[in-house]
Amino acid sequence: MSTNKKILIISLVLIAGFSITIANLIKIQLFEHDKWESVAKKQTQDREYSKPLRGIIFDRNMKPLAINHFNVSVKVIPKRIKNADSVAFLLASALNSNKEKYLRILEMDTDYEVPLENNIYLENTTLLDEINSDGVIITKSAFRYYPYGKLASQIIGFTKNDKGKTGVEYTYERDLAGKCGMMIMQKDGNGNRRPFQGFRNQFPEPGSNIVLSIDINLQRILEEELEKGIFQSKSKSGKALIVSVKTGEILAMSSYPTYDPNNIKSSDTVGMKNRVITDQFDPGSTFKVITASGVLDKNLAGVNSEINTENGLYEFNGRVLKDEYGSSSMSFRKVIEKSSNIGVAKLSEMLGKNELFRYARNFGIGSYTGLELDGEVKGTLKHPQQFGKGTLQFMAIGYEVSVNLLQMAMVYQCIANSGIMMKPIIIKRLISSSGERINENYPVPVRQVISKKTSKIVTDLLEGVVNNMGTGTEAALEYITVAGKTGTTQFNTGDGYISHIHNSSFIGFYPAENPTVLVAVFLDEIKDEKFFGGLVAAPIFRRISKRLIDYVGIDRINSNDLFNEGYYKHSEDILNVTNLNNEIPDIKGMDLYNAVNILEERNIHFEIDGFSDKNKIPQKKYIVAEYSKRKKEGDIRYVSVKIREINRNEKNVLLKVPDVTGLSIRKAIGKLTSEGYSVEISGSGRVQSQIPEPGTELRQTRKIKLFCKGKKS
Amino acid sequence: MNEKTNKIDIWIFLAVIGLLLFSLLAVYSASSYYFYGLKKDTEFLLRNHLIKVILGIAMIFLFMKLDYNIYRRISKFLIWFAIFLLLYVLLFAAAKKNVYRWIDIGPISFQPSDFAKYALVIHISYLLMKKKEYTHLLYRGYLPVLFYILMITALVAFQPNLSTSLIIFGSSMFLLFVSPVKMKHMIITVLLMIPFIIIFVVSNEYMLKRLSKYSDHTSGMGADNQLAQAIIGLGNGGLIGVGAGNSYQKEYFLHEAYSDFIFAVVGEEYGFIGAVILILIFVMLIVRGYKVAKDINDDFGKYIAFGITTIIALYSFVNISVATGIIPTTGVPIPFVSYGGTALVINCIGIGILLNISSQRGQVKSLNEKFSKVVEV
Repeated sequence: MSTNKKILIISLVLIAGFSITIANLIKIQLFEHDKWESVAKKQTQDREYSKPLRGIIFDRNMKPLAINHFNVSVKVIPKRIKNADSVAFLLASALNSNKEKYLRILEMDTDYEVPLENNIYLENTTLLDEINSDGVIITKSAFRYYPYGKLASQIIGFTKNDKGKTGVEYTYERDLAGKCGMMIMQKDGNGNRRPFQGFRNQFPEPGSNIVLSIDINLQRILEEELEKGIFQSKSKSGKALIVSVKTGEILAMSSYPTYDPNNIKSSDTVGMKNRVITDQFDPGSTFKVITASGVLDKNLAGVNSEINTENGLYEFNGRVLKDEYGSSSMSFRKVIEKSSNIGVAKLSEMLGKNELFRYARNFGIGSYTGLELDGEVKGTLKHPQQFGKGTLQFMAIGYEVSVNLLQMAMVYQCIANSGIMMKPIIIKRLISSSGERINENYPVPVRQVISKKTSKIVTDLLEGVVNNMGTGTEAALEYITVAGKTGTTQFNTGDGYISHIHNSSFIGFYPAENPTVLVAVFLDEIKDEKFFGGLVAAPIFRRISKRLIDYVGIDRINSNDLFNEGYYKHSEDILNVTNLNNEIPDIKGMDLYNAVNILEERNIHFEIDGFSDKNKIPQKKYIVAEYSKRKKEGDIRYVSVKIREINRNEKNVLLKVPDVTGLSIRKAIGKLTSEGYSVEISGSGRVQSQIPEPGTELRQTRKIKLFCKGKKS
Repeated sequence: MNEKTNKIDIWIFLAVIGLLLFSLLAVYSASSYYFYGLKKDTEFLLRNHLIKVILGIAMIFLFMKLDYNIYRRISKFLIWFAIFLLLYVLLFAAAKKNVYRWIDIGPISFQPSDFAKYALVIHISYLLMKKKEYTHLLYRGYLPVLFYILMITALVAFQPNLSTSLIIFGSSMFLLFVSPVKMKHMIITVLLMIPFIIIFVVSNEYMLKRLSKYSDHTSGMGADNQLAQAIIGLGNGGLIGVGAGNSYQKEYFLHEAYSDFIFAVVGEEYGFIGAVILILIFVMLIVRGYKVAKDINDDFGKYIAFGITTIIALYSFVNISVATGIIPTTGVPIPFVSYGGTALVINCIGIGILLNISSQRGQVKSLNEKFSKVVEV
């Protein structure tokens, strides 16, 4: 073979060799490109999230109740720091440390990171934030700190791992949390990182700040006096709240025992509960005011009418009622002042079960108050159809009914506020991190429960309880007239009443001529001899009120501007404009369960055609076929409902969740309820998002949760 | 071939100049991040490389003009000088108990093996040309040639630099293959070499480790990090690449990406298209180099042209095969593109010689006799 032929062979062999490399490149670069691209991305890119600062919670006077403190670590790369002396000085002043100590480290001759401080605690980082020197690496992590410790801790709640667990921290998690920032970092093979080009950094957005309606000074007064009172009366626990009568704002609220959110212990679970709203109890005598209001509002008796009190022992329907100090008869006024069980039972017989039920319901018994905190119980209010023997008389004096303390307080708020029930408010406003108002919770009148005239008479009666040698004389204040009512009940274990353990309460408001402040006190399980509300709870009421008056000033106590900050408009005016009473939601096509819920939430009375006991209808099996407003005894909020069974075919039709984002809450509720959905609302303003999302297919209607934000339109 | 071809092969010239200019871009991109970290100077290696490229181009022009026939007279001197340098380096290595492949002459580091492989090609060519009538004989023809081959191969292997010594041995065998040497002799030689290579590899722990790591490179997370990272880079490059200067792998994932693994950076930045163009340029260079060998009428020139082309071919093939994971990782630069110091300059000298041979195609064939007489005088 000639040399030239052999050269040809060699060149062909080499070309074949290179073809193999090209074949391999086709495999790696073309077929496996996606795989290697993701491997490369994984090893060269990192997402770095930066946590936003949590919103601050303030009291009504902008005193910070929940703030952020910091754990700070500082590392330095000495060789990169140009101006060691001034950087050392700045660091020392920001970290409250010694400049010389830092300077020694900063002047080291090294290219490596040297830790300067590790995990030191700082209340604020404003000085540290100003240090912007090459070679100084600052990492800070924020954590929640509650400057007032135990005070208002049940309202504020606490966080764990930056997530709200209870109270406002939990309910307003979405507002407080803020938005995480994100950066894409590029890494080299040695782990050095730098911001990735071509990605706009998303900076973290701090959460919104929340202003509560509470006044931390009043909260302190309340908590101190409650604890003292519980200690003196040897009761197991207790709860109390202060309400601004004209606006429905809660100024202070607490239950004892409480807990320290800065130092959570496993035993704190009892103390974490805000039992003003989470516990229900039999109200006892404080409930009598509802019966009295009904009778007076319906003009069935006058305050001076003589009531037969059966010498202190009243037997009816096989049940027995007793009075502590029996007499043959007394005036309506005396019945209330002396808190006569028999007298009130007689009043309830005048009123009748339907009307007692109606007044109790209108006073908010048996329904949620709508307070913006989670965990509220709605108590139980028996429907007239569920009344047993003697239920009418016993309910009239506060048994066979259960309430939470806030509901009971709001009954007195209503009486004090000319018969207009306000929605209780704990969140005053949301403020963005930059300070602009996002949302303001204005006072909301719920309904006129009794006439203004009735409210004045009832107030007058309650004034007598405190001042005319009634049961509440221990609550009386110097210079200011108090109206209020005591309550004592035997402890209800749930199965029955225990005679030697008592609950004791006092709810009162003042000044009686133009009430502005309401204080409610409730003590559980008093084992002492002295258990009457008038003897135990009333003094606590008095001590709280005395300190409250000292705090706000006696001259201001009957001013309409007290706790109002200027925006207050009299609730009667607002009520006239809003016309809430006449609104009946469209419930056609809704399943009965949802329809009943909506009607009950709005205190609309209803009857279901063809069923005498509507509580016995399996509600999930029926939908509302038709409904009509019914005029009955002049009450236009009365609905007659016709129902029919859901047939199977109908159930299999998939429903599409309508889109209500962007609508105002009112419109959104209207749209959703008209299509048969029930609604749960978080926040206020306009609907930002909803769960389930628009377009989701459902077999049947369910509760739609709306997340709202922004100014009311 | 024809009378007029006394011009250089312009394709070879353009290919090499093109590769050298491209190497400026590639080396700069592959080294800037590394040298920023090392010396806070992104252009450090570029400046260094630029000097070598200028020097290399100068050498191409110089040796292009220098008649290759004068190597007939100095080939013996060249080969013994190479042997001397290799021995010198080995003695240094013994003294320092280290891998020692370099000779420092002032600021220039010189790798004798780069010189030795060209000296060997020239001397083998001279011997094959001179012993033309009896190269098929074992004692008079084959063994004297084999002596020099084994000498150089062994000296380089003991540096230790097995990959270079194998390429030198391989290119020498290619050269013998195209000569009238008996195939039987060559086959026996290669068979006898195999146990030596095995013993050599086994006795060298470092090499064994690299071989075993090679076996799991395909996962991309293999212990042979260099190879795994090279493949990630190539794969990430895809069809059109991540763009000039945008390689991620050069940022400490591929260590010293500007030298032996520069092909991976090219494949990452310029994609499949760029990598294939680079391969095709080498294929063209090789084909044109072999065409020069085929066309020249003089046996000495033919063998030198073939030998030089084969050296370029084997280096580029081994380098690209390593970077694409076809053969186990070994530190071999890719000619003209890798940052490579003296190797680049010496490869340019080789190309200069090849171009000079290309310019003498179609010249009288009597040169053979004329010069052999001169030598014998």
